[in-house]
Amino acid sequence: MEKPFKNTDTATHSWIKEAGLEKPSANFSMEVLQKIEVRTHSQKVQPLLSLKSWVFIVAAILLSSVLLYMYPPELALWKDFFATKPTGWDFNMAQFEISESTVYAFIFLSLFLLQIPILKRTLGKNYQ
Amino acid sequence: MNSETDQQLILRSLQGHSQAFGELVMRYQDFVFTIVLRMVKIREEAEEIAQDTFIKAYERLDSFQGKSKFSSWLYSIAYRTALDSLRKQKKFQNSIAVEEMGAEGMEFVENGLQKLMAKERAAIIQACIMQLSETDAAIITFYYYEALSVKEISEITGDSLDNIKIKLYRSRKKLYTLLRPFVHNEHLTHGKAI
Repeated sequence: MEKPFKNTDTATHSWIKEAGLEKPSANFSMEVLQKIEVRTHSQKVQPLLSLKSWVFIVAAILLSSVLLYMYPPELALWKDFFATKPTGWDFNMAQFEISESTVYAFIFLSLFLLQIPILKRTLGKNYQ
Repeated sequence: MNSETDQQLILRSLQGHSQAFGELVMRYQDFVFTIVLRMVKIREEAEEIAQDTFIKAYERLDSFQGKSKFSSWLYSIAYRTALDSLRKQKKFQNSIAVEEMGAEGMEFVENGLQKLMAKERAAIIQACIMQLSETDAAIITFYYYEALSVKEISEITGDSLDNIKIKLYRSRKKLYTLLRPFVHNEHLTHGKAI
């Protein structure tokens, strides 16, 4: 039983060798290198806002929130500030109301903003 | 021909010398393309997948630790990329029923093939390999053409050693089954001519 198996193995080996290898198109390696080049360049896209700008924006928002928490609008500090308001200025925080349409508008705007990174990632994956 | 080793070329590629990676592409493109073509069966698709294989390899080159041969690592990427593509398109080939062929049948095929002209024989064998299922065609090429060990093939494909041995045995039999009609026809033609 051993002999035919060994013969078969040897014969298969010689046939597969004889069948040889297939050749891709002549400019195969050039195309690979070109695609690599394109990818390397496309990865160097700069974001619109640099990391420093984002840090500044986030710090400013946090600082304002902390200031507003520590010095609520009722305090004299703000009263003095609002006291210098231009003539015709009639803003009162207590009477400030937002209509339902504005609330919906804000919700949709936030949903839209939320979609941007998701869409960017999906498109990036599909067109890599 | 560049005499640099794969490792030297990898190091130079990592330093940003794209020509060094180009040399690696030239070195392995035929085998990678053959494996992928024998799996996906369509030339245009195979070309695209083989290119993707090299691009993936370039992008992950810094993760290649040199524990295995570069070729095995590359073949693993090619094998998995081709399988992924087939899975996406749900284009798996149905397995061919294996005929229980005895020693005589095998000898008949072997003798018949030997009578054919070398070019004709190569074309017939190529056509029969293409009829094997995607994994069988890849495994039989890894083992018999590239002389990879069962362990290396197991690492490339992720199959167990036993599974590879079984697949090798079956694909060898399938190949004989597929070759038999060609040889049979050849015998008849020769018979008539004589």
